[in-house]
Amino acid sequence: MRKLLLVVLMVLVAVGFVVPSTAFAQSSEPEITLTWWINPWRIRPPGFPADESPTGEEFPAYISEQFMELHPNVTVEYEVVPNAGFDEKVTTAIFAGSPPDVLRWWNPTWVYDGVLEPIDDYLTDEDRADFIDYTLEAGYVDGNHYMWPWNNSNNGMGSTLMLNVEAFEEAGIPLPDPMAGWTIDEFMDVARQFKDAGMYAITLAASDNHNMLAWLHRFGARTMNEEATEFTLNSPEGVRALQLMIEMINIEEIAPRGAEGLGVYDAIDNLHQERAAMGYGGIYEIGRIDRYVKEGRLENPLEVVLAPFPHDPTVGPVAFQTSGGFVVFRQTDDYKRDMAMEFARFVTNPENIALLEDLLYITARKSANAQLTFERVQAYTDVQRQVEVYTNAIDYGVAYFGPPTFDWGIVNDFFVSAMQAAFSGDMSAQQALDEFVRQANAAAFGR
Amino acid sequence: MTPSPATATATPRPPRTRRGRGPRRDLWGWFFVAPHLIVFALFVLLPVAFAVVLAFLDYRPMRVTWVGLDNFERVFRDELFGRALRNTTVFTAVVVTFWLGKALLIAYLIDPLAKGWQTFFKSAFYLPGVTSSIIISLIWLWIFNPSFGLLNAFIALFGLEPVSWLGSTRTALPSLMAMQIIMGGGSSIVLLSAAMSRIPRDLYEVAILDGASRGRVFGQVVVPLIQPTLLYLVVTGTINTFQVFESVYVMTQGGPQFATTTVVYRIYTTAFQRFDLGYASAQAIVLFAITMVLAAIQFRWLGRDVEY
Amino acid sequence: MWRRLTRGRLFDPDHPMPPGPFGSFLGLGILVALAVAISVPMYWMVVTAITPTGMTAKFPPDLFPADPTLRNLQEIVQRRHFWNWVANSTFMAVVLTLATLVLGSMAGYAFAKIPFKGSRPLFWLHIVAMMLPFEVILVPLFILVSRMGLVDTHAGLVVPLLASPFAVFLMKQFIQTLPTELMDSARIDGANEFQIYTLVVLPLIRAGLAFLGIITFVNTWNVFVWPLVVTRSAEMRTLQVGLALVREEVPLFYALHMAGAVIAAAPVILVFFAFQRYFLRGVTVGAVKG
Repeated sequence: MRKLLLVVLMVLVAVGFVVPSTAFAQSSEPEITLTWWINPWRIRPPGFPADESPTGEEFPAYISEQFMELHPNVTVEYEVVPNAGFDEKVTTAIFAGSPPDVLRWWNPTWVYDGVLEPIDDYLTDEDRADFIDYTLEAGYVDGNHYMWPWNNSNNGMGSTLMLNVEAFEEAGIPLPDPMAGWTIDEFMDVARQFKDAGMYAITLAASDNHNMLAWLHRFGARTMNEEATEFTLNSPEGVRALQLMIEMINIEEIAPRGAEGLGVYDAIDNLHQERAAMGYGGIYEIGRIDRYVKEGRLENPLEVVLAPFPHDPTVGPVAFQTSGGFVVFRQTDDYKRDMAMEFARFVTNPENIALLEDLLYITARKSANAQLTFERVQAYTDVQRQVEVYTNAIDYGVAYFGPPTFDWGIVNDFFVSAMQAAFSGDMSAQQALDEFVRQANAAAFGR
Repeated sequence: MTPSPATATATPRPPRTRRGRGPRRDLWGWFFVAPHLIVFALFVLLPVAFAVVLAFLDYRPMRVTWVGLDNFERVFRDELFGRALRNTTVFTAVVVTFWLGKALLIAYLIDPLAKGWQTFFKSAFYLPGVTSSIIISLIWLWIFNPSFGLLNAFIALFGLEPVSWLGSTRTALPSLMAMQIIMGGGSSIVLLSAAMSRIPRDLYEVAILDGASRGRVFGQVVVPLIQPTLLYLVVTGTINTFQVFESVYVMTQGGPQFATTTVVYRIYTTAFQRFDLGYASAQAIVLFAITMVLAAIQFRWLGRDVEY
Repeated sequence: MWRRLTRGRLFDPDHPMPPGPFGSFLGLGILVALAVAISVPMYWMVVTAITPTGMTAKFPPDLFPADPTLRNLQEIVQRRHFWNWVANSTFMAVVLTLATLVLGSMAGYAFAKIPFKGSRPLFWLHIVAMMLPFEVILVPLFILVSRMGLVDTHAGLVVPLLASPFAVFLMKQFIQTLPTELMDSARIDGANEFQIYTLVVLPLIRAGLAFLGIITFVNTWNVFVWPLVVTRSAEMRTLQVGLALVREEVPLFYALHMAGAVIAAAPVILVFFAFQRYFLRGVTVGAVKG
């Protein structure tokens, strides 16, 4: 009888030790749900067949599943939000107090409205060293960082030109040296030769703000002053650049007329349909050719190479630098905040960030970039070389759209309007830029 | 006594008995309106009231400040809003006139046709309208495309140079107007046609006996008797057209050089790109005031009670 | 001679004022020209939907594709969640159409034929409510719906759109044209208002109800912003939202865009043909005369 009691006592003691410790473990890992929104990014996750087209759902599904495996107490819900209506959806959610926990977008107004969580406490030293400097700066406002960088530079618009190799060969024009670059005079020479050969050299499109700003920066003009307190695009350098663009259309005739009604897709189309010998873009745009060919939308698979925008010898090369990433919305619960940050870091960690290779984007992490091979476009160009050219070009990156603290959306309409006025001849270059600066200063700074 | 067409409203009626009025009547009135009214009050009036109050606030996610009439002051100083107002007024005046005129003409032309042909034409004019306006905008975006659009292909047949329809300040707004006039009006035609077919035949006969010409018949018989329908179409047409947004959003984004910026498009950019809900509400209230005046005028003009 | 040729076949034999030969020619000419103008974009939509990819940016465009294909339509229908989208859109459209018909006709009857205290200002409140653009009401409405816990629910899709001032306005106009004698004589016969509504008024405005039903169905089927904002999960999306995502996966891929448009339009066209009898033919009112 005493033995039985002893056994029971031992069992009770054992249970007493086991049960509290699991209870303790439970209470340190509450069950939470994280939600994140992203617009359509057609990235193929690992295991997805290479010859099929992803829809934009596979990538967030994959990331969510992977994170849930690492953290079983967390349920991750994603939503793919179409670009059409994106503004309405996000704005409504923010004002109703129910934004997602993590969002792939950036708007400095959200910082001023106090709805974003600063990420500085969660950035490790390795992170700070690994992220390319200006990608972190893209989310830096008033002493704190608010954005986990993800993609570095976009599809290349505003940074590099794409040259149709065959067109150059047929016209007997040598390709420029992409590492040394070419001057504007050299570019115009080449352009005139194309005109003689019966082709446009390039397309200018009023609503294609990345590339239009790229041209405007040629002679050293900047969109805003250092302190970002006023617009300076109407400086003599800016006017000189716009004047050149107008002449490219009307006098030199190396770019198609009707530029006031064209957009970036027209420029892309002109290159694809070989109406223009040059277009715009980086590795991503080479990937577009591949995609269109596979979908049957493009008959002739063009061979292309990249080249930087021509530069003015006294100013030097200028390209577009930007990056996008993920923000974390304000949290009330500490654990949830930690997890949301953990998730944002997870999407942008070296392994997952490298998935951007599928879209032929460069990533924001140096470690990941070193591993990119871009196999898919080997057929269209010497990829490694193009990656070199591209990363070299964006070394001279400048923020065309003002500092990260500025919401370009406020003035974009005025900018496009000024381009339209200049190209249609309604206003001279000086007038158009003056008008833009006047309207933009009023809208952005209340002056 | 047979009423003459011009005074179809003058049929003498028996005097209202006391049974026709009174608190019992009122109760029934409210009974019928109640279900609708509950939902209306909750999901329409309440948000509308909130939106009106927003106009007097600087409404931010974390901070709400009362600013009184500041937002309204901004509206009157805003040159872009003034531009939008001008664009929208021109757009509405032209579109409503032509689209309603077209609908009236078509309904009138369809009226004498045999039933089968009536159905055919009414279907032909109505069916395109069942497609969402986003799709229609996308289709017309292609039609207007300067490089490979249908319209430029068509005018090329006559040897004309391609035109940048949506890219030129002179043709952008007229292009949108033309699209609206051509594509719109399907349901109006059906409505007008139904209203016309309800006109009692004897009224026509009396007018013909009186020797009236086709024009007089139209003006004295047809129009007065479809007045309630006309009023509905003019008022709702004006209100809707004044709020034109989707075609601008999909096709021109307000350009070129703000030539196609409409009031609601300004409100949209203010609210959802600038996150300035208070200012957007103030703009909306100015829009509302103008629409209100127009509606009041239209009610006076077309709203006299008409019965057979 | 003209009359003999066309009467009965082209023109309504009972119509009191049929046009003469010149008038007919001109009239029909105008009708046909306008009908063609409005049909061309639709024709292009259907043709593009069955055009194989790669041929859609041709200039000048083909009148009919060389080898039409159903692949574009197939691709859309095979999309994951496609049938969810259709189910959600159908649910919204059916529920809202029925509700609008009932609520709208009841309220319209009250405003038109029951001069109750407060009906004028109340009616004006409806007209006024139509004048604020939806964009401004969107955020307040969403805040309200989200406080009620209806985000990402079927109820949330439907409930805010139940009360349509347009419907009430339309019903009022329709019912207004009915002779009051009909209702008065029914009242004298001892019927109460509800019986008058169901037994006298509703049958007489069948055409109006059919009309309102169809345009409500169409409008609800095509609505985009509200379902986008109020839903959070992929299963709750409506057809229009789903098709917008498809369009953005493949920008400039016109064939697929138009295939989606054709699929979206098809059910509505079916509904239209099912009910067109009721509202295209019109109804003559002639019960009380002389």
